[in-house]
Amino acid sequence: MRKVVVTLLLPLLLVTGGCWDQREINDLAMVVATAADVVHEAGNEQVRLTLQIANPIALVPGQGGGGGGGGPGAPKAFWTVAGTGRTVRAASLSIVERIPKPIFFGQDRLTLVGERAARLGITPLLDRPLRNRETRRSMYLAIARGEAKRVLEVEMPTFRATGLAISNLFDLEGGRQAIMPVDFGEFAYNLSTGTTSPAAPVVEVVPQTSISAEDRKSLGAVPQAIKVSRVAVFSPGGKLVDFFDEKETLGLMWVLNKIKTREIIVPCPVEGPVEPVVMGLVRSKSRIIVHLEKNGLPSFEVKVRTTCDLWEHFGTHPGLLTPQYYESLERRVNTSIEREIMHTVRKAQSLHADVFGFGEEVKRQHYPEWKRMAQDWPEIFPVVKVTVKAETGFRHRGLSVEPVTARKEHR
Amino acid sequence: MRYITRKNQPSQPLPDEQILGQKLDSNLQVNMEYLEQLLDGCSDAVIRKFKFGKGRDIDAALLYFDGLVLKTEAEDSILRPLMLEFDLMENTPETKAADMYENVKERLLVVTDLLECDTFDKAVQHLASGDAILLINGYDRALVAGIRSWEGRKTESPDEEVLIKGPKEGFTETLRFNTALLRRRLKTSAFKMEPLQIGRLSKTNVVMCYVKGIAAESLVQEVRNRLQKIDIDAVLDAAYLEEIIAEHHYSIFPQAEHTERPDRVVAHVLEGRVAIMVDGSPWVMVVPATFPQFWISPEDYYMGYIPASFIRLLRQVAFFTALLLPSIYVATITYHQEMIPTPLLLTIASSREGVPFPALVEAIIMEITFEFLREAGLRMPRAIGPAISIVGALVIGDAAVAAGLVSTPMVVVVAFTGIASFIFPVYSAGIAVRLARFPLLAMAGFLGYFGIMIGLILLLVHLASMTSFGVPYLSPLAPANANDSSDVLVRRPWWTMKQRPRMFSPINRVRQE
Repeated sequence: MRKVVVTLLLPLLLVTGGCWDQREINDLAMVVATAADVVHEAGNEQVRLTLQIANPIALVPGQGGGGGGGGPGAPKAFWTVAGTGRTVRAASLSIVERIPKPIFFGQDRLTLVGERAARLGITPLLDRPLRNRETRRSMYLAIARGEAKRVLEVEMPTFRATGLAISNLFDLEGGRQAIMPVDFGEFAYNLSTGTTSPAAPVVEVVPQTSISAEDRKSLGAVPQAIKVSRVAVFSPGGKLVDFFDEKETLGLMWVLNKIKTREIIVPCPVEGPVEPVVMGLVRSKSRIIVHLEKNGLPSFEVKVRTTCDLWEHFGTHPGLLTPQYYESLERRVNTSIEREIMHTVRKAQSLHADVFGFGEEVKRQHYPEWKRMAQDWPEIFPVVKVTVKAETGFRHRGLSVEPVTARKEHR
Repeated sequence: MRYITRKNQPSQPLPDEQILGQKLDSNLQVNMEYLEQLLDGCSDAVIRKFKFGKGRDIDAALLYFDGLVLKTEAEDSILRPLMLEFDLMENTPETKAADMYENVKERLLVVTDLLECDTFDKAVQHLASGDAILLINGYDRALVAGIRSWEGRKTESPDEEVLIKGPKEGFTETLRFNTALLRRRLKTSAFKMEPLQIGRLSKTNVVMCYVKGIAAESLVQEVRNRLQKIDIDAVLDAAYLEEIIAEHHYSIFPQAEHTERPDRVVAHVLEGRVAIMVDGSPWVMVVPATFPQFWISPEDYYMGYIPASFIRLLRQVAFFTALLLPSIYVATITYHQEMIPTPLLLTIASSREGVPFPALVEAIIMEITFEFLREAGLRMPRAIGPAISIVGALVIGDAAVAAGLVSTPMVVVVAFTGIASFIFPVYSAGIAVRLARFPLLAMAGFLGYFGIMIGLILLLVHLASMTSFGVPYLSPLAPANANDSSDVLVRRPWWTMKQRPRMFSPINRVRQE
């Protein structure tokens, strides 16, 4: 009998301790984006943390700003709140005092770091999110031109929260043009190697371009928009060194396998009027091969294999009818890719920033030699020899065989 | 010779139990006195005393229970031959008085099913079972004429186990009809139907069906032993027997399959199982039962194996949905908010805005409300049925949400779970899942996913430790058997099912060459 009673009571032990972690979903202040700046305040450098917090009440249909912006006085769907402190944690504590609900970082999709904070060193800002078990390492990291807080304060016409809009942009448009998404974990890993220079995309606040001059006058202030492109390059120690321009960013994206699709514009390979041919990248895959030279230094061979479609081809030349024409197109694409990558390599070497992770590749492929050169890597990287080899396969020319204006005499 | 002395003093009545223990007397008058005493108060007993023979000198009595025998049959095949045709018989040497009883038995009674009995106990039992009893003065035996016939439900299509394709016949309350339904489907003498009688008062006829040569002897013997050991005053349904003969008395999971479909019973006995039929109930019990068989419907075998496999997978998904969906929902929104995609999380958070209860309490309220609705809908007189659905749909679904008492996602989750729990082809398995859901919900509310895992592990340990007549409850999944389990998760095509499942019977495994 006693046994039965004990057996029945045992499961209750589970319950006695239970519930301490329980948090009702509507009792959480859900952070969707964070911006970290370093500001000069009260005589010393302070961390200013800006949180973009969702306000579910405003999302209830039929109440508040459910239909969109909502009228004046209606609760806003997202709330941007800032606090300062000596560290990230201290700054977030100063926010806690002003919010009725516990702050929840589990849904944070984006961390923005201000330019000044990045130049002073990003490491102190990364520790708290990395240590906090709520934060996800898959959230995006981006560097703001100027103050990060300003980015979160931009009002987006289509999105309720700037932070969500930017992370959405990375989800959908990442890998196109010069948009290179970098997630938090990846950035932190690169930083942890001590040799690789981490890079992160750059977010800027720009004036909205689609608004005419008259409208601008009537609106008073110029509406602002967000632009995401290019990358910011850090030193292996975590300080912002320089910004890559779009071309350099594209070269980096080839090597890091971050390109999903893009167009490559090459000149028409036949003599005569030079019309550009637009090739569309379908897929690409790059590989870094490390060779050890006789002098003990490594040299790097970057191999890029791509497949391209023909996206645009206009003009008078009906060249697509001959296979030689395809081959010369492929050659031109190869040259274009190789040039882009080499351009970035030279820039990176001049910055002494191993953004490609060449050092990591040496470590993986030639570990004993790497142990010898690891110490001197910052001196070795700028002088290593890098060759690029691109191989392009032409896949599809679309529905039209040749441009409609192709002239007969060329046939 | 105590009773001989007694017969001359009938004024001192014996207690009923003593009479039942006695043999029939050769004196009709004594027999009748005793029988009249036994049948005292049985207003449905019919006693017809008459005389027959050349000189109307032989006393006889016909007894039966009204409503259990076919009256015309009693008149045409018992009374008429004795009262009229006895006279027409030639007075051959064989028809001497000494052979009179034999004559009646051999030549006069036009009844196919004719037995004899010689005790009061047997006589009353036959009487109560619907036989007619003929007593003739001078003989200490009674003739039992099996002319049973009563009003019963006709064979209809089963109400609870509805199929689109496949046979539409279902069992009825009459055991004899039911055995006929089975015999028609298995025209072999190897299909055995062993009779048993269970119930001190009810004397219920129970039939144990199996195919000799397929069902393992040990299993048949075990079922027989367990049935014979039962001591109960009445058996009104096979479920009585399940509870008594099952191995695990504390489990919520069904340990026998109950079906009202003859085709299903035949399919089971052909795999080496034993079916137990109980007179008076259209539900036939099949043992041993294993857990995976509860998501198998006979219809799976009446349609193509590809659609059948799809539906079977659907049922497995429904099983886990019915068991886990509310728990997962509660655990996710109270402990694991980071696992929900942001837009979905915001939607849920906005709909929970203003709900006064924690998610766990909200879930329990909604689940119990749903159980109320389900039970009420089941027991309600048919005419008020629609009222329940209106109340359920409007009050629970709409008004409660509009009033801010529950959140919309919770209503969706509970509705989804409810629908999923109806998918089971075997009703009792659905009930087990309905029950198991509540402890899991509590675990999820207290400990999150960790609690769900603990609950699931406990459930698995329980299921894996069970056996049904020696067969592991999770077989053929655990212990794993490749041949048997290939027809559990999906439906195996008929042309590949060359062997019977090994779990029930090791003998005669070849189904087709």
